[in-house]
Amino acid sequence: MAKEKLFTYDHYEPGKLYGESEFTVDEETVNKWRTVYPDDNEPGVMPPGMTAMIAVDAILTHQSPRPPGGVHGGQSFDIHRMPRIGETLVTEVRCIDKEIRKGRKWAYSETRTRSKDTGELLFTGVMTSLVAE
Amino acid sequence: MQKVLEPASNHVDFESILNYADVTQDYNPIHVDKEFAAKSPMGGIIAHGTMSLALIWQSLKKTLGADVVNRVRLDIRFVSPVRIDDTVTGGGKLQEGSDQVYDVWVKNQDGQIVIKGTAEIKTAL
Repeated sequence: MAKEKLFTYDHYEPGKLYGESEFTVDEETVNKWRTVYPDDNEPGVMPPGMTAMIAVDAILTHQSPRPPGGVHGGQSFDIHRMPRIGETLVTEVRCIDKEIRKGRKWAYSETRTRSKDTGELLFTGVMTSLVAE
Repeated sequence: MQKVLEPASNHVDFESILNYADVTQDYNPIHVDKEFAAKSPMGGIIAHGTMSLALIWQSLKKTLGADVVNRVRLDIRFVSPVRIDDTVTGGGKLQEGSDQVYDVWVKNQDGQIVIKGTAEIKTAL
């Protein structure tokens, strides 16, 4: 893969919106999740651990391909309402900050996930990435 | 508010990592390609960090109920890798002097912290 096509530290622009992704919380995906975590069996409600799946997938869709060697250093979530099974979600991805500390390049990507039908804000997240290049 | 969160555990094997990769569509070779991972600086397969993060959510839900999960503000750091055959356990403890903020963690079978952070239970509207 050509190096210039990689999503590197220089491509993170604080304040920039990179795009949005759509995801439907369908029974099939939830059942797959439950093969890993059978106790996540709350009827009608998406397992809360899936918030990370949705956020990471949206970020990797819009801020990629990433150079190998990066690290998912941290993650925050602010939950307003857990999505329901059957609900379609729209997640937007934005860079909110970046910095170099002790020679290491850090980038902060925010996700905001809403119900597609109502626009209701369901949860937000911030992924902290140690960027390899 | 309960002072200690009920623990939630998971034994991590290669099959569960592959299942997690399948549901999340995250096939980073460090998680799914034994040969690649062995040659990497990690020296072998590591589980997705977010796979273990799910245990903190389970611990919160088991202790405080599903409704409370709708008003959690969670902030964590991935501290150490989780490897095949690790058993990891999520839990937490109410911070001293607080009735809303828990210190939360995931530890492996040796008691080593792999994830740590805080979970704030926001006031119900």
